[in-house]
Amino acid sequence: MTTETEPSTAHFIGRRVQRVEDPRFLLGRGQYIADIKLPRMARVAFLRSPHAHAHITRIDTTAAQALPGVFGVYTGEMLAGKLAQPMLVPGNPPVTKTSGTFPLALGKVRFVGDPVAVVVASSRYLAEDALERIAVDYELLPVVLDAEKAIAPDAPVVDEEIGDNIMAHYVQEIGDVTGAFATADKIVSAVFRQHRQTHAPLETRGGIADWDVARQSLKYYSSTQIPHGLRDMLANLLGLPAHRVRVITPDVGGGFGQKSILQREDVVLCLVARELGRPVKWIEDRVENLSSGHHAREETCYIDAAVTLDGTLLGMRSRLFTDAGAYPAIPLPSYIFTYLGASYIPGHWKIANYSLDAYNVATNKCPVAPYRAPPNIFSVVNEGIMEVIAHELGLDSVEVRRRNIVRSADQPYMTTMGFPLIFLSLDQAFEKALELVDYPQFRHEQAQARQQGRYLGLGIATFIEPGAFSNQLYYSLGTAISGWDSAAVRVEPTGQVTVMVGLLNHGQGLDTTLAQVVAEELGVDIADVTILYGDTARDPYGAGTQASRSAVVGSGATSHASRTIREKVFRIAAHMLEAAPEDLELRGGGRVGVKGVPDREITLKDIAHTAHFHLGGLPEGETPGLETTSRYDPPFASFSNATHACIVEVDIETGQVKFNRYVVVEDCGTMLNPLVVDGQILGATMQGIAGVLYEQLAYAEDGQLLSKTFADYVLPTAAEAPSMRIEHLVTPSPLTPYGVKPMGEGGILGAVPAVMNAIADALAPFGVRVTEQPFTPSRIRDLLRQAGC
Amino acid sequence: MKPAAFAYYAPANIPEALELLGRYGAQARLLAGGQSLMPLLNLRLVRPTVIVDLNRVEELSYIKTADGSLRIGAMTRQRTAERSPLVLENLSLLAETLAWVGHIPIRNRGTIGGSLALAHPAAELPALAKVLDAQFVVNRADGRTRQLTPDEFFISYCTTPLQPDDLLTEIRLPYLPAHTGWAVHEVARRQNDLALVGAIAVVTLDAAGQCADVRLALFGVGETAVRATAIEQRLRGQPADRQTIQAAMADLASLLDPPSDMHASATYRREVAAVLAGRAVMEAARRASVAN
Repeated sequence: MTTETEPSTAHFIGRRVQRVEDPRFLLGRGQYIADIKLPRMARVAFLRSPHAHAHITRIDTTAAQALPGVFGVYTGEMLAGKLAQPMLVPGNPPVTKTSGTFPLALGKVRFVGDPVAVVVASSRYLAEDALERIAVDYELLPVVLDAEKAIAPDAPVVDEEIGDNIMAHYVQEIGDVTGAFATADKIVSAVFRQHRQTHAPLETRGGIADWDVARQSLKYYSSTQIPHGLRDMLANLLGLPAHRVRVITPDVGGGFGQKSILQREDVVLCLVARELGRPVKWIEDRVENLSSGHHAREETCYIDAAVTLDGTLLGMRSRLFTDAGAYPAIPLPSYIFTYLGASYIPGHWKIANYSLDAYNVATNKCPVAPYRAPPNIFSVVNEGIMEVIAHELGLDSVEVRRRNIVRSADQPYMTTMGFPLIFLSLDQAFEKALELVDYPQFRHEQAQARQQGRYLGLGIATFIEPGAFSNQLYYSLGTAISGWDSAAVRVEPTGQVTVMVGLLNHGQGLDTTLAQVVAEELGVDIADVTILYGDTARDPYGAGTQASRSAVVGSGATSHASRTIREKVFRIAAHMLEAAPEDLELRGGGRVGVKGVPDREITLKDIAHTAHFHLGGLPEGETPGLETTSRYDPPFASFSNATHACIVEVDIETGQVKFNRYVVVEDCGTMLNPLVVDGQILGATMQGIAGVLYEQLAYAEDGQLLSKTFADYVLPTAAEAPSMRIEHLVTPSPLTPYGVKPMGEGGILGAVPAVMNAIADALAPFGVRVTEQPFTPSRIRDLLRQAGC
Repeated sequence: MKPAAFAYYAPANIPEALELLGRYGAQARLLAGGQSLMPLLNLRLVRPTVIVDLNRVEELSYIKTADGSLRIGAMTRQRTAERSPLVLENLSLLAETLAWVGHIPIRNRGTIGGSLALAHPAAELPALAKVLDAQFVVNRADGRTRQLTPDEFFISYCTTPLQPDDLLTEIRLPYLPAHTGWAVHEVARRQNDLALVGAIAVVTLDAAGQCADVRLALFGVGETAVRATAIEQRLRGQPADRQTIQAAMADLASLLDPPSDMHASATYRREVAAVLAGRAVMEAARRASVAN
């Protein structure tokens, strides 16, 4: 049942609690990799390829090594033999190919920014001086920069071991696509292009490798989203047993997926630390991060839609090209998201006939890592095409959407994607968004404005957001990601609660939301709960924070562990109060009492004290302490939904776009903390707006990256942000704890097509196709100029 | 992004600064607000062996009025000028222009002289200097002083005639006559970014409401800011209405030679320069008609 948010009887769950982690960030007292200093620690700088594709014919590091203050200089050749295993991503030929990477480039360089050598020195200044003394001879090779051109048989090959540039090719047909196209009144075709972008976390990538020769063990401090996963991968690659590898993650200043993978530099640091016997630290600068720190989003999709004259979708065909860059990302190669992107295109529309033909292609550009809503091309296409269909058929685009959307009454609706749409509020969110922008009134205003030579446009986008994947789903993808997660809940002798989880908070508010869950289940105050994460020696196993999983798996694991503790607390309290456990209640502030008897109560502190120091006071057979670890594997996948609606004005003389209104109607089921949910929506929406209007990674024809600093890679600021109105619907999932659904990435799924469609609607009088991002002022003027304006 | 090694000097007055320039010449770079120099140093795009830091030379920071013009010391912070009562009262166009220059934190450090000496073609202050027929006072290590006009000062892309032993010390901005209005119009990727293209217009009206004088400078349109003298000529003596102004702009685009880059094509810059010039002149004329 979908409800507007209603008051609950919970004390903490569902409350807009101010984040407990914020003080340290706002006061500048977070502790990041850059802040950590270890004795004898050296600093690192990487020499990176200035060429997009070339053989390395000679590297001479003698002059660099001779510089006073340099401790060592290493090349790909020197490190190649030191790995216990190659750095590979397994494939499943012929659909996906096995491919690999190296700590440092070996034999040839494949993109501008490919690390070729590493200098370890007493300071970063000195290390950069030493880089200039390394002599490298290159023999240039032809460059391939376009995914569609890269699949041609005569294209330059990025990885000769593989033989061609096709990392994956998926072909799938569901239903009767030929029949659908044959009976259609019209075939509407379009091409949607999304440009290259990057995650641009505020804190760049970095790590400190500390090899303890006496214990033969490795400590790696990392700005990572996946501490346990990273620990496993480093242990395997370095040939170390996992119990002697420890990953410690201090505060992480953002990741967005760039830090959900293994970095080649992580491996280099660990190998080099072991060679040199001193800690080595790397924190990349912004130029490195923008050129080598993994990119995302560059995709082209050709889409054909078979429709009837009233706008009903009969079938669709897609042909998708994903530009994967020069090396795979471990353990999440981009071909996973090529498949998900292509297969999710039918999305929230009623459609039974669909075929996909999707390529994941290597090019001489920076490798690609998952970026918040990695398969987002699906929402660009499935909402963008509606605008085109409406225009071609002379219909109102809202009516076309109404005709095709999966309504609650249609659920469960079996999709071509292989799973049913269920417990979603797609049509309610859609209608509510239209109501909030007063759709009929807008059309009236738009018509009036046009008469004055002003161009307003409304863009709408609805989406289904998947997340919180299970072990089974990750296993079926062939990647060693657990999917399940853990929480260890421990009541200390003094009654406060320490919780350790396998997640990795890097902006999701988990210090607060998980404390809310524990506080709720144990009847304590949030201030009495501490959430810890980011130390593989201490924390129970987990898959970190990615794929919008933390609320679902985090609340699952912490609630289960907390309830287990509560049961024990009630057994002990019952014994101490001489009552039955069923007669007890939580009274808040750590108090447990007998129902109906206000003065018969005891505190968690008393119970904890007894459980630690007076075992004779415990019931027969009760074990000492108050501590347990629980593990939770979520359902296969969970889904939330939302609709974004925005109104823009386009200045047709300058191409500038201004926001008039931005509305989000969102349903992620039960919200642990609406403040955190709103924050995620605002942030992801802004990131979507950033991509569709501002951010752009541009490569020159020779493969040089043109946008290497924030002067050219344009991130919008608060001054560019529209004010956003967010409304929530609540359709709890019956399958997850508290009915929580994954959210956090959806803002991108909504914002990119909503803004694109708003511009398309504004420029509709000019007959231009608005399907190729980014929509910068110069590119909007190009569209208008081509249409004769 | 760490600079190559350099020696650092912080003179306390102008003679000391000139002495250092005389001594180190081409090996040295002057550090004013640092808003342009520091990134260049960090990226190792420039590698001076000597930095002469002017931030302790207090005698270079002043705003005075003399002979119908504003006299501004080269090290005056942009934000100081933007908020100066003397500026707001006598030449508020300067304050209005400065509001477009970077963000407030940048203007807190950036200097009037520094921005002008950088001579970036997309910057606002060089265009303003052209529109106002500013004078540039330059001191040399050997004791000589000279004054330059904007045409003499802005030679090419980030190129002025300043030699290694020259120090820009003062900028003089003549006041505007009565019945004058002005406007600054700019298109940038984000608020307070470097402009893609922009226009500064100054219009003086006569008693009949016609254009007694029109001044128009464009930035982001070539190697330097451009004073559109041909357009100004056409508009002098004409009524300040939309049609007349649009007609006068007709061939403006063909007079310009802007760059193409990943942010905007040359065609875009040419087209939008004409749009912004028209809007700026219209607004300047409107403000002139309500000014006294």
